[in-house]
Amino acid sequence: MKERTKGTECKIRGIEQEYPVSAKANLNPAMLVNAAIQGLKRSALSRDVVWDTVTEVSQEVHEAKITSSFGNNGCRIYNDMDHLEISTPSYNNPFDAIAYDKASEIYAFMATKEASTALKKEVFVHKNNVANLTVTEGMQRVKRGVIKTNTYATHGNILTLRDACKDWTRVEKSLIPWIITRILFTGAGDVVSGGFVGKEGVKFVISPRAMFTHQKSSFSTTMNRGILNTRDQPHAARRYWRLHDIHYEGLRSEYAIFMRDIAQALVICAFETGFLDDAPELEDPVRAFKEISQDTQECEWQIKLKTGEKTDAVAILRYYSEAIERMQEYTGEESKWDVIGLKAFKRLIDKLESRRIEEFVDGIDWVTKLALLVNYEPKSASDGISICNQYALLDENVSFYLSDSEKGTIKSYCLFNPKDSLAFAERELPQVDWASFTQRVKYALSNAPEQTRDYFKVAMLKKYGSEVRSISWSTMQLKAATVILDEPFMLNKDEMGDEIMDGQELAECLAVAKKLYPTKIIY
Amino acid sequence: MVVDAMDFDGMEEEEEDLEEEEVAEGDYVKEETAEYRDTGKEKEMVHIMDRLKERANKEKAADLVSKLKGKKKVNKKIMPYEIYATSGE
Repeated sequence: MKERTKGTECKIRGIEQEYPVSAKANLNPAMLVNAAIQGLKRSALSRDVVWDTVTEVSQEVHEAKITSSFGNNGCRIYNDMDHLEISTPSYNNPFDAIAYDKASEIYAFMATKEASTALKKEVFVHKNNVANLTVTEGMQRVKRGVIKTNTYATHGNILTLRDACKDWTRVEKSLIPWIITRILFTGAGDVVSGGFVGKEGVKFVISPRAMFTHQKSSFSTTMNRGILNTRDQPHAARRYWRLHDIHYEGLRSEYAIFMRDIAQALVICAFETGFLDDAPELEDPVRAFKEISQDTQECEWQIKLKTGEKTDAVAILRYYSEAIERMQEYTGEESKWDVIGLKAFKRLIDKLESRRIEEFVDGIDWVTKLALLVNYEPKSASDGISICNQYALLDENVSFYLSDSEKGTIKSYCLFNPKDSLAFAERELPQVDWASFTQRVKYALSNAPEQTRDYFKVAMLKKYGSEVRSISWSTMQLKAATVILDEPFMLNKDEMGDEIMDGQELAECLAVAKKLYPTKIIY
Repeated sequence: MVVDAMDFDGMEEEEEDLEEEEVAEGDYVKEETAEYRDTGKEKEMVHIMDRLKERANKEKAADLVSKLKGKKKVNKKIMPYEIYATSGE
């Protein structure tokens, strides 16, 4: 086997995004989502697969019954509780985190475009986490009434070590302050029902998902949500633990997606190596989460520690950046992404510390949305809701990522400006080769990342689709053999070479894999 | 929802003093060919000044809303469409 990568490149991660699919005609959401999924298959971006629920034991009953499609890039596509859910293939660096997130946006848009054609109705898709509906007590939609906020998720996943998570109180101590304070740059921003803060109308918050938190940890993702989720489903060998983070949010900005990915991966590495064991403990984490989220004007972001002392969220972010530095000094292992990421993280913290928040317009989603609200000056709650929704709208503007030509002539109603967002990322992360970004998004539409096990799955499915009986994140059942893909980097492009792509027969491909992993290819 | 509209007191963006960078092929990372110019005492002074500047900025940090005034163009019509979605995940 070739030498493994270093630092955070050893961590695979991925995003599950639930997209709400709506039509002005108020059609049944399940029908809209199914039409979208069918549309992707019609446009040859995905195909039906049998999802292997025999070896991939689900901990939630409804999940075991979900019918899945498999995207050309290795993403899983399905109808989850009447949302279009797209789970990206696994990747191992922040540049791919953006590329596959943008590919997911394009899939979602293409899906609803096809659904519009099939249903002869205008169908919309958004990338956000809340739907604000005006309802009466009887839940009938009326022009005036009470605003109710429904939430759906963006889940972040990162594979960590089971040993590091055995003591869950350690997980809580190390990571809860992180999840709470990172919203200063990972918060999507949105308006939620004023009922959350005992007021009428709506309230703009940094992190809408924070407002739906009830406890430190929970198994359920839908009821009494925890800050941490305890779902034990590694989608890999038993020695791994998949940290299923239910507090990611639907982001559009390249900079924010990049920073969320690399900072999260760095924090998890520091956590595994014990550098977060002395993290500051918060007196009331749930309360702190909600209070910081609501503080969008004064930006004091005050937090009370268990010791009784008061600090602010930025000081806690600085604790994490210093712990990462100590870890890197100790391990001496860092990838190029880690160098870029830590430098950018420290710069971000410096700006947050001096409250130069307005400098993050077009870089951090909640700041950009607040800037839109401030400048549009909405006169009603429904205006405020519409502005946030329009930012989250996925329309023709997603084609920005596929065009090499002049990027500024796309007709779009969306208030997210991809040109400004990319310009911000270029300015703030100058070491990243943004000139190759369009090319990478194009690649990400129809190919899995080369570095992870998804490369093998996608290549096999493309070439020997009719030979595949079922698939899951960590298994592939072929007519000829079962392939256990329980190591995150196994059978990637480095390991397989060009054997799969260069016209080898299936038996030869399996023989190559068997030679590398004798016990994991079972005839 | 009415958002307070106060005058925006803009701040100039800080620029780093970096030399030219080259693109490394294939890994989407540009190879950094230059170090920061400031070193030693000079660097320490810059650091202290930065801290002081930050502190000064912090004093007038309040009211983000007013600082965001004029930061985004208002050139698209707002569409009054609701998202009709149930709770999920």
